Amino acid sequence: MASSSWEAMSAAVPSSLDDRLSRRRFLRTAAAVGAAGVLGALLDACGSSSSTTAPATSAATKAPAAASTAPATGAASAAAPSTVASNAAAPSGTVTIPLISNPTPNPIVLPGGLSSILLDKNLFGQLVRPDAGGGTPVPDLATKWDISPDGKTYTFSLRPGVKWHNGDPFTADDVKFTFDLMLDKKSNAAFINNLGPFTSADVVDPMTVKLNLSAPYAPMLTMLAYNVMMLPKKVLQGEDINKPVNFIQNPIGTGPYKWKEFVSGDHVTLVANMDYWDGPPKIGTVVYKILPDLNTQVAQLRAGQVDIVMLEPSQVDALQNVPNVVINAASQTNYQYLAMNNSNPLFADKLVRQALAYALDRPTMVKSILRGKGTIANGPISPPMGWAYPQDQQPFPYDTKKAQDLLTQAGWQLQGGKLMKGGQPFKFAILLDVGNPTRKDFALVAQQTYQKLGMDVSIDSQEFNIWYDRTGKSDYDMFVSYWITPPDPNALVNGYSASNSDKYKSQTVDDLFAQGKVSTSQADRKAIYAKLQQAIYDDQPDVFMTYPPEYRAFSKRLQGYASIGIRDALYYTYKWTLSAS
Amino acid sequence: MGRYIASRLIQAAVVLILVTVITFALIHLAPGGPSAVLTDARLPPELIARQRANLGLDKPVYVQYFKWAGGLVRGDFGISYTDQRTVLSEIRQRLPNTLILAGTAFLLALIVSIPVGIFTAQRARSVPDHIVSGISFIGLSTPVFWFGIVLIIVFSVQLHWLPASGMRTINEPNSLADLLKHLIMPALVLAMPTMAQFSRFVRASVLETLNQDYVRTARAKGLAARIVTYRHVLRNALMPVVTIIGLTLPVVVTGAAITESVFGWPGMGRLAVDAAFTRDYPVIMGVTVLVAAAVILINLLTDLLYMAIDPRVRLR
Repeated sequence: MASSSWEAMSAAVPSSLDDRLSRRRFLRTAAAVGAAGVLGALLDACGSSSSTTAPATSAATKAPAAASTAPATGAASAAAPSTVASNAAAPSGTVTIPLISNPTPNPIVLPGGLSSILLDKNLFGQLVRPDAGGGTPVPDLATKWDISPDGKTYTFSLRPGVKWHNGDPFTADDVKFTFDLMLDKKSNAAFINNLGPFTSADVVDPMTVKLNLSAPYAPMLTMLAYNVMMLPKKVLQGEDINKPVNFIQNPIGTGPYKWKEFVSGDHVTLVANMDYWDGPPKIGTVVYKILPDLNTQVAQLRAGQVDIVMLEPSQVDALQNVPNVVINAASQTNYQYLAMNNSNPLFADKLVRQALAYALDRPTMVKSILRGKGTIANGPISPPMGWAYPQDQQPFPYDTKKAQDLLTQAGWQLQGGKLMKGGQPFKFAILLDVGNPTRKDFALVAQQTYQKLGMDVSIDSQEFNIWYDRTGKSDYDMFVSYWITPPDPNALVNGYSASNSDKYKSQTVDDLFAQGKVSTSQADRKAIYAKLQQAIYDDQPDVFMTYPPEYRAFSKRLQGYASIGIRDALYYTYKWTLSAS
Repeated sequence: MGRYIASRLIQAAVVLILVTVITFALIHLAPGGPSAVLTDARLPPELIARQRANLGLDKPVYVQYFKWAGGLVRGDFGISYTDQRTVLSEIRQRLPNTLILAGTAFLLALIVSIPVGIFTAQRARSVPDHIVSGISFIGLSTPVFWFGIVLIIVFSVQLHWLPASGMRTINEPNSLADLLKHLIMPALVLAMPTMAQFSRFVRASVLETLNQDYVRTARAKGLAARIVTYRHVLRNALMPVVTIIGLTLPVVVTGAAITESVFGWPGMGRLAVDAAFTRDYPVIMGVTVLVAAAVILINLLTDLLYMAIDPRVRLR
């Protein structure tokens, strides 16, 4: 026994670990949302929805509260979150936001995906940020900007009197430092690709910065408003931005909340920054609780221990009638689609791709999978892109007969219930990442739909990283995908132009992207992108399914948030309040 | 004895090196790469290539291994790809939490299962035995995540008795009572399958011992039933139990991952599983080295303990 126990052990450990891992499948919902974060990290945005918050009110509430009392108040009411003082004088109370994984406050490289984005919004400031309607860039750390007539120089005037959390003044040096970090080829900067032809930043004077571009770039401001956060030169200088181990232990920003505490795998605590340029926040403490399991997040919301949960549509029904919870849906710059490998002979024929679109019952998908919110997609430009979304375009109707006709035109014949051409069956696999219930539903509906047409369709479920690796290498026939992008159509360029993983090629589309990128007139761009959407619509390089809503559940005590995508809503956390309930 | 331990330690070092080589090879063979560089497939390929190069992932695997092993020798476990914190600081924060949870669960399992095992063995095939067997099988076959969520819904959402997650109340001074309140549900959930398994094991072992000749002899001598049970039966019956404890301990520590996820417990099991999903190589390797070392050590201790309690086990 004694001598054989190592063998026994080595056999016992892996097998029981496997067992644990297979049981862990249920957790993949959480993992998949994390995945959404990875995508969203780069390219997310949000809706053109309702509520605009009057900036005047914030100036009025610059209460003369003693800065030192604020954190204490926050901590005290954290102990009893249900008894929050509605007295708005000093920041008070705690709002608790769940994250699925450890966030890391390094907005340049953005390790930690969505979790980090949700944290960074409260810690750091940007030159410009989306307005409270979730759209147009508005002043944040820059108060105004001039664009040179040739569209190649952006000059920003910085907001005077802004202080870093450590008390240092915020200056043009910090701005240049941040952009230099992003441009450094040695840095794994996450958002640099969004800035296109941006080449350098110059300090004009301590309160003025000039950004130089090698070519005009229409989306520049929108992209600067998209998670490009400023970092303090004095603090960060000398650290490797790819692993700033000291900075992330005590990050310094200009945002409405300051770093207080981090316990790995447990929580991050932020406290009100009394010196915030737009007035002190109303809520004293923001706690990010790290809860990897979505079911636990929902249970905690019901128990009043967290305040916001982002939901999968399938979770909506169960929370609908919970008394202390409000569910709402925001629009987001996102579309769900069946990506097709256009270099696969099956999908090389445009008629076949159109047939696949006609065959799909998308109204039912919106109703049953998305629980009634969201709309049918016409193409990659989604309604929250506002001016760029062609309103008058109609989606492909649900028409099985038309689909069959198109397949016949393309040379496919039904033989004994099977779709055949030249002796070959119409056989393909739908690649799916395990764990996300919504994408699984889409895959199942697509499979059933296409089987009815006589195709031989299988579902190939893979773990997220493998799924991602294979989609990047174009190693698929078809996969269920989604794409959250910044709210400018140029963000879609790598999906349909250049070397996209779908292997889709269209000179018309390439030309339109090139024109839209440099044109500085919004009217011209609108016309260009309407043509672009139409060209992609006709080609159907992907089967466009839906523009999904972003479902969120809020605790009822939370007030004053804008009904926009959570990523943008968090720029305005400092305006939220808690009601006594 | 000293020479035996020395030779076992040398063996342990060799095993440890093999474990790191094999793990390193396996994680690089696994399909899919680190999430840290999988920002978006729709990014230009040159940008992804640059990110890989910046993490050193463009080098041959053996070069990466020696770089990692070189760091380890100097006590540098590397830096996590996904959250940029040093692996050592992550483990240092997480390990004690897992030990608290797993230790409590383990003690709970022992405290319950040994008496239950003895009790049922003495009344084998009686009604109480069947009832306990039934409960054990339910305990073994209930999925941990389901049981956890049920407990949360009952005791946190409905009754508001216990916190739904975490290890301490945030923004409150640490106290033992607070920790215990957070510990009850996850420890119970984690202990349940082990408890069920152990009580079955103890029952079988005691039952077997009860049929031994020396027990019959002891009874024939007219010894009191209690003395027979505790001095003769228990001491012998618990020997295989010590082995199974040694084997199970590392499994409980690493296997706490699900319980930790359900209850938001900031432990190391979760760290390991998250690292596996995100292909966070430095973290996977760090945890592997630590767990492998612990397993080897526990194994060695089990063997020594075995010698101590069973005079028949002698060194060759």
